[in-house]
Amino acid sequence: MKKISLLLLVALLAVVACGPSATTAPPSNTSAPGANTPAAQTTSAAVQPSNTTAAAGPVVEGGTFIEGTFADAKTMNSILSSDTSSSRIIKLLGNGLLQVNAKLEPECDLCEKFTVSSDNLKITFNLKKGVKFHDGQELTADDVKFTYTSILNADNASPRRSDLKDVFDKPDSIKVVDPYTIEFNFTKVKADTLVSDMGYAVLPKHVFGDATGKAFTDHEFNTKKPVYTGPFMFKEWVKDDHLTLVANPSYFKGKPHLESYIVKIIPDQAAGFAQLKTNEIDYGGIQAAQMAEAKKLTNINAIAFDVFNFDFIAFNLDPAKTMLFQDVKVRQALTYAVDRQAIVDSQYFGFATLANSPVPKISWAFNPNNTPTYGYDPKKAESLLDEAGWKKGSDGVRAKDGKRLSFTIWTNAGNNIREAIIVAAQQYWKEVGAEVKTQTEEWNAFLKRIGATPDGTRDYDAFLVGFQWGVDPNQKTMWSSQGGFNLNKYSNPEMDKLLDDALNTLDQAKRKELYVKMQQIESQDMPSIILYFPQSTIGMNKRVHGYSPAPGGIPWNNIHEWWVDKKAS
Amino acid sequence: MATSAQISQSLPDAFALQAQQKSPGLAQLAWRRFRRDKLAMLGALVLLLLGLFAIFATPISDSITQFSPEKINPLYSLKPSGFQRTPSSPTNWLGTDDLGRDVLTRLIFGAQVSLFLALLTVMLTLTIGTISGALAGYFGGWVDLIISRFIDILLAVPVFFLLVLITVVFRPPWWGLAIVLASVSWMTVARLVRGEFLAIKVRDYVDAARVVGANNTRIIFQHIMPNSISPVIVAATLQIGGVILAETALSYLGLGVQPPTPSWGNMLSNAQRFIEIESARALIVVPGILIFVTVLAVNLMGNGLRDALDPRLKQ
Amino acid sequence: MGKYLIRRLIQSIPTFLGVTFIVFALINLVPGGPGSDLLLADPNIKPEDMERIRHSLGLDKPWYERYALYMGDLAHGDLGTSLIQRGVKVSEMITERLPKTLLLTGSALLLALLIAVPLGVMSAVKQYSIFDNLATMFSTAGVAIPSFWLSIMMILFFSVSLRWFPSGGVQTLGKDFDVGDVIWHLAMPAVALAFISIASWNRYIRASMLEVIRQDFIRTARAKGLRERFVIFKHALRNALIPFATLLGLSLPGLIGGALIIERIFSWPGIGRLAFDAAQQRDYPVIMGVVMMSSMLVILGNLAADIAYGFLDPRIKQS
Repeated sequence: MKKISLLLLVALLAVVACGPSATTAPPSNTSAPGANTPAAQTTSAAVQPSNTTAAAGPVVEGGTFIEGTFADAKTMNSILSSDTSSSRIIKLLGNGLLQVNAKLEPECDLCEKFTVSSDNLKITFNLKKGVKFHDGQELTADDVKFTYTSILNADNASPRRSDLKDVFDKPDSIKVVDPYTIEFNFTKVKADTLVSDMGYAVLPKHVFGDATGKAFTDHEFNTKKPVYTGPFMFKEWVKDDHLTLVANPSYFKGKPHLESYIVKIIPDQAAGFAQLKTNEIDYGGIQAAQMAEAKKLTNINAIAFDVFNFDFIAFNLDPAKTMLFQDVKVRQALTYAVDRQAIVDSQYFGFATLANSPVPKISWAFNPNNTPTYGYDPKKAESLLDEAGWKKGSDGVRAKDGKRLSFTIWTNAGNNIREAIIVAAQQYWKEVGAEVKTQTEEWNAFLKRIGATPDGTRDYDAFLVGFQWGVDPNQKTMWSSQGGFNLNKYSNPEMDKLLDDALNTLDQAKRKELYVKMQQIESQDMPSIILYFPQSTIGMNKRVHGYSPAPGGIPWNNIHEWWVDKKAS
Repeated sequence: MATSAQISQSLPDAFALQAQQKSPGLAQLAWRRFRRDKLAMLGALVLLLLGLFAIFATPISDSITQFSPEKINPLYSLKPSGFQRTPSSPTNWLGTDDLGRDVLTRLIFGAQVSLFLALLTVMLTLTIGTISGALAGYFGGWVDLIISRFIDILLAVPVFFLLVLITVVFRPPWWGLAIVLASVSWMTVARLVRGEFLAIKVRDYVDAARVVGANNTRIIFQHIMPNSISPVIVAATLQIGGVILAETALSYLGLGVQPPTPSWGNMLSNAQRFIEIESARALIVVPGILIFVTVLAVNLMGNGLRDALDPRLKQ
Repeated sequence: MGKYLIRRLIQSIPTFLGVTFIVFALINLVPGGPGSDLLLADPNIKPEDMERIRHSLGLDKPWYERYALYMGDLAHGDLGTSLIQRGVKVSEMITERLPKTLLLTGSALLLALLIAVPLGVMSAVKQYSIFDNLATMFSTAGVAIPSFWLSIMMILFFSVSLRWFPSGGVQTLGKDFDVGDVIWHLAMPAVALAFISIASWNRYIRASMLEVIRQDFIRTARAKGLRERFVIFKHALRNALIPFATLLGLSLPGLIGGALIIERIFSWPGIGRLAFDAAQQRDYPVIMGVVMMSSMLVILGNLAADIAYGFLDPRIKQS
């Protein structure tokens, strides 16, 4: 029970922290390396801080834990949340049916046990008895059903509805068997459902009554009076300043040692680091450039975690927009031409992992031997371009059939690292004979340009942005020709079939085989360059005990077991 | 910062209220007085020097620093001052930035962007402000009413909010930034000019011009304008400093001149993330000093100009 | 005076209308449109879900319809609700933060006055003395420092190195409210915000004083044998402050705007940050509310300056 984490958040709630990472955090983007909110991240036990539970002295009851974060929460309703700051708070307040453990596998949270039918179409949950909401009412299967029907109700504007509406489209899809038993009947198999859909913190039906539509989205529960079952209860929220939670004395996993948990909003990154140094906060994100200094500090443990987010460069493969990148050799050449390691070192100071596959190495589907790999090889890039018929002209720029190898790469304005990377890419590509312009654009306009909005135009040649996978290796959204985030119109029938197959079975060994194949096809086709997976870098005050860094990040699942030494001052 | 821009602009405002008779030899007299003001002369000299660097940025970087402001090499990221790649290669006198670009060269090109941005903004401000102020002051009546109302609207909104709002939404390139900055700062000049016009147009020589049949345009440009110019010159000079500070503040929010175009503001603000890194000291310190020195120089010169043009202050 | 106030307030109505329209147009007519940040905080949200959320927020209506709706609500004194923190009233969001901004700007204003006025007067009285030269140097240098840089240096020095002041926030979290604690937290942001005003006002007061001191009535007062201190503070300063009152009114927007940067660096939860975040998220009801509110403050500030003018200038008082 000791591991786990945010993964949960990340995965279960499908909170994609940082897609385009600045997303959740445009305010921070003057300095944030993407949205490296510690909040959003998961970890591998890359670093073992000295004070795990075992090493610590006797448990101290009471005390306040203060987390610093750069963005305020937006809602405390688990099925309306779409940003990491909100999801963090919800994780402290509530519990879902399942949570993701340190091995990134689903395990019971509110349930006693769960059973999956042999045809993979029915999941039955036996709920723990005696779980109480913060207002004293007992949680029953009706509350679970209410939570899921609220997601499915189109009037409620839950951003998660289309994840579920096709698999739960019958009246008895979600069936209360008795107060402690609930059945989910799927119309078709959804392999990622255990880690992707079963973690929404369960809402209290008795508080919402029959609220739907505006009554639901604007309910005072969401911003003023959340009532969940989790380790902490809501106390106060001074917007843009702090949000205070207090221990839930009747938490079903045991009363938390901490008396209160405060989330403090610190928009400026330099100020955030200063507050870690001065013990004003116990926990907070650290920029990669500050890690060397952070490791020298005696009062905090500076920890780096591997996470599921990454930056990538996508080439527009829609022939109606540009013909430049139709030839796979051109895409491969442009990948070989970029010294990604040098970029990572200069921007992340070693706190990022080069991607040799679209799957992060902490995923069970990761294939360490994926080929081809794309080390920095400008010679190979040049010969591939020659093979593809792009010949160097007298000005050093390649051309084919009278058309110059000339294009524009876009990224969102205000993210220092991405701005640096497109400038670097421009230079590297120039060296192999491509004439590239760089452009930054305001976030909303940029999303419209790259086609991430319903009214998107896809007017670009190439773009750089961030994304974050869920815990499940299902990457359909990006590589399937039907994928929602397949912004550059990549289409490969073999890939489509493989992705569908992988989602139609719950057999992990079989799925892994399929995903290994997927990694290989992606690396071969190179529709987008997955550049690197940045690590999440955080600082935790040494007075905090009881957390055990695990492969998967600081484990928030056992927050009720954390405790702090009394503050010196 | 907006604050200082606001205030430094309103300084001459008070003096404008006391429009005084200017003698024909005003320019020479003013210059004689200005020349005696050592600090103002120093400010002017510093500005002249920085201006020369800005204008000749390309030849200077070609021949002296021997780096291009754009050429990157991440392998030489954040090298300290005085770094040389090989004993025979040119020296990075102020070290390199995160992408291995020469900091000194980028600062010189940053001077170009920052100073040209300021100049362009001031020119636009003067153009919009003078024309609208002149129209309002000369014609009066409903023209005055409309323009004055519009000025009131803009003056009622905290200028920096407006700046942030517009730049957040548009993320303009550097010349666009000049337009945005000018569009929120022309009001002071307009008010000054309007005030001068109201005061001057009833004077005898304007009446005389009208009697001999001069038309409106001619009266405005030949007779009134030259007489109302001095507070405007002072306001314009001081605005240069205001623009540089405003760009710096916007850069802190990620809204200033957009990279990779270097400006002192965005260099200073981007360097923040390397504040804990020893070899990046110059990257953080030098743009700050340049901003400080430039604004200081501008203000010294502006103060000197004001004293020179408004002799009642210093006897 | 009452009549005058009412007239001024009525005059400000078109200002408000103009401001709301400009802001509304800015947010709604640019690519991406309003509230889009909400929808895209998570790229895994499918376009279909985005459409539904937009619909539930009424964002699928054409902009002129939404403007009409907004103005209709405004006529009833309703500033609407946030697009991002759904269900939260804009008026509530503003009233939550406004006291903090007023506390910050008010303290900065007071601090600036308390320092700038005596400094300016001393400079004028002892014109060209060492004191005067130092003050002048401080002023000219002070206005040339970028405020965000100054603030960060203050944090690094006074918070991190010396541990004298906390580096951010309004109060020590997890402890009970206590005035001394708030003042302790307020100190650095207030100084940082006051800094530029101190520098420029000091110079202004000096100039203004110099001018007054040379005038006849001061000479007369001196000739009558009044004590120098009395002459300076009773007669001269009062007259010198007259134009300064107007300047104060004029510098309010600058102070409130400048607070944005200070609030951000010192984690101070004021309306500047609210405005900035709302602008980033294209949360137009919030932006419009904040801009109207701050415009109102500016107008009130100018009114206050006018009234102060009346008190300071005996000629106006008599009439």
